[in-house]
Amino acid sequence: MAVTLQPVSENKIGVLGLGRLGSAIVNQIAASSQLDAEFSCWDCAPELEKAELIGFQITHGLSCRSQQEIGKSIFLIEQERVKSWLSNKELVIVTGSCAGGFAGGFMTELAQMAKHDGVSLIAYPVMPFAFEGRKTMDAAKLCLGRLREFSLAAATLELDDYLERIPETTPATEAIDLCVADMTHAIDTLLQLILREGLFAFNIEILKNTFNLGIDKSILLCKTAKPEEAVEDVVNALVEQADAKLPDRELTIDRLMITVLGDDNLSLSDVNQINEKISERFGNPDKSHFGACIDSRMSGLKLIVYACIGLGDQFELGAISEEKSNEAPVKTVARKASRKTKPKKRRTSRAKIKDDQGLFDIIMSESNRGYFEDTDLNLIDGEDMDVPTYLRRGLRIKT
Amino acid sequence: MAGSKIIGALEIGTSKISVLVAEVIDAYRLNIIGRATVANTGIKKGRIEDPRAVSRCLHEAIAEAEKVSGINLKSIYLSISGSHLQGRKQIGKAQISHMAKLVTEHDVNRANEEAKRHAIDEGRVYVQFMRNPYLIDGSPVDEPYSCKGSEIQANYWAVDADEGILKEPIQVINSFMVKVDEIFLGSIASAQSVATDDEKAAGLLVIDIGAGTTDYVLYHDRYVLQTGVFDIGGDHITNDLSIAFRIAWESAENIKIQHGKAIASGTSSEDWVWMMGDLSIGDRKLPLRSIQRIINSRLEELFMMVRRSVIDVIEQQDMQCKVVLCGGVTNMTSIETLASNVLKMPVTVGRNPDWLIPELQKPELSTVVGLLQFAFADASGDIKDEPKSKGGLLGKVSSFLTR
Repeated sequence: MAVTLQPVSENKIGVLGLGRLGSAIVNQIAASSQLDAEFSCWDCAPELEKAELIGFQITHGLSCRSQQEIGKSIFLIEQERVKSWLSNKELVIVTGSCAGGFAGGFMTELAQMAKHDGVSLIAYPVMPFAFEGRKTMDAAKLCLGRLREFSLAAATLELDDYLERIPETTPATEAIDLCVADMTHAIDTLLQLILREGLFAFNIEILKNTFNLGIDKSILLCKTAKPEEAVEDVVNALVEQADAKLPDRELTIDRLMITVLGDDNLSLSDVNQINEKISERFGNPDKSHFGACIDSRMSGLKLIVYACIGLGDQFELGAISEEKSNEAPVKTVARKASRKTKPKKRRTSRAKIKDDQGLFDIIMSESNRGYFEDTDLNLIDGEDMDVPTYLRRGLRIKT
Repeated sequence: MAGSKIIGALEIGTSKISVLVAEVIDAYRLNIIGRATVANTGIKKGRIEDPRAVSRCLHEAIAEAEKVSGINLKSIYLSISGSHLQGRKQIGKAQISHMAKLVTEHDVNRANEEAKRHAIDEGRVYVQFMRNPYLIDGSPVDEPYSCKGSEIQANYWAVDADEGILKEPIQVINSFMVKVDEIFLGSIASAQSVATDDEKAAGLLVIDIGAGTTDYVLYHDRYVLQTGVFDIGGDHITNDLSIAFRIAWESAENIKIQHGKAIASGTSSEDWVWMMGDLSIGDRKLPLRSIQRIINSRLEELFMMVRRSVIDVIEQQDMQCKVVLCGGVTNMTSIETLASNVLKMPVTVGRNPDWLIPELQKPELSTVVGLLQFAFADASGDIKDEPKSKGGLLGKVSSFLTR
């Protein structure tokens, strides 16, 4: 259980939108947010969205055409600019399309640099539609794998989920708009929590899980009291709320995420005392995550308790896997159920059209594994090492 | 051969299988009486993909070595590689029980047992424990006996492997009625051949770049501080060329060997090479600079990965580390220059011992030669030369065979 006593300051947070989708999200947050974080949008082909042009030497203002290698190359030539942007940050939130040529390629390199420079990075990538084809999806998964490797948390939204919410005759761009709205809300909420509630004092890895849960499967409590009273109050309230929210008693409280906020009088022994009591009440300390933060604006001790419910043993905290999704099973179950009720004829037909037209052909595809085609993926830092280096690095080779 | 002992070393590499058979005459004299190197098929990235093909090649290699030496090989030392091998530092502590606070054998044993007792995942087995200096109340000592203190800490670099993958070569070898005496990591065996004890004491990184895998081992004070394996090797260079120019694997391999260079310099965009060189139908010109850039990008990436893996330990130990390269890929022109540029350390290409015949001094035979040296040390009873990297795996291997 990690106890950290360092809140993050508002002006050391950077929110970066990459590509057209990422820029749309960050522009919306910037327009509505009252926070003093630094909002930036970068794109290699800025059109409607307000974004800074980047990588002009390579793309000359055109898009990367889904080729993530170009996005990586742009990062290479813009390294100094990125480094300078990162230099005064403690936390960076980055968003963009995982399958985008610019955003997908650039985001992974940015995450790697942030990790190297000791800047915490939370990624909010958007996964593509299934009808964009297997190659696009594979590229997005590779990108996501790398993000999970290098970032503190990577919470994804999948465009397919939004496709189910719109009528079949409506263009898929509406699904993207819905996704943008949700992502805007998610990032804005995260910023509020970090800055107003000191959530960053957690081992921030848990954010990934919190935001993958869905709001109906988690409980947020705030209690203000002295340590000895607050614990009992919080425990009782938590049980009550769990009963109210989840009448199905087969679902049990499986994981606790707790942060303690206090004024200058908050001591480590107070924090430990609270930690012990909550651990006693809810059992397995391996499934609790505890953090603390001192905020001089606070008067008295405040507890914020997140309880994640019904996750079961299938959920591995922080597990990084290329093959299986890192989402909470509860969410997966919900999705499976909705897929059952709504067969995706439309997606299949679109997939066929798109695949036939070869519109989503990208460099990092399985066909580039050559001699190693039939062997297991050779993944290191999210990259398949069996794919030629010059392709992954975007080197121009005269053949 | 009366009074002498026969030893054997076997490396099942991705591109070739090498066998050495030798006669141990006494503690100082070794007579290599049989050798065979057979091109291997059926292995990719150090992993057996086609057991039948590997079995066929292995049979050919063993038969040839036996034919040359005129003896039936009974047992061998085997090298292993592949990214399924995972190493980690393990420590064990024990309070010193002696009244006068002098370290006894009992204390050392307890610390050792504690260090080796760490649980590993199901389906994995320990393959090698390499001892690092003991700590007596935090101070490092080589020989802890009779030192004074209150606590002893044993430190090991432990390597474990996937049990299923480890069994594959052993089962193939057993099918020829040949027993596996000991297993050594490929990197440790190569280092035994190409590096001296003095180099290991001063700080040395040995990188063995084979066809399918790249193994490395980091030494300091003669202790193994770290080992590692990447499933990347010369085959990847061939594959990169094959994909880039859309040419057959064999053609790409030839180009790599004939025109490969690790540094893309000294050529202009007007330099071309012929793919086959006989101007026959299908022969075509390929840009030399592109060939070199493809090779350069792959090798540069590989060395960067090795550097990222070891740099923390090197900086922590504050050591002036040298690098020795071995393995077949080190035949590539200018590879030491590239390695030196990327690793930022002095680099040399390793040479097998001078007492070997020229055919056995090739860098691609470092592993099997090193294995033979280990076998010789054990057989001659002179095990003082390598006390720290001694595997002691016989029991584990035997238990495999009886399963």
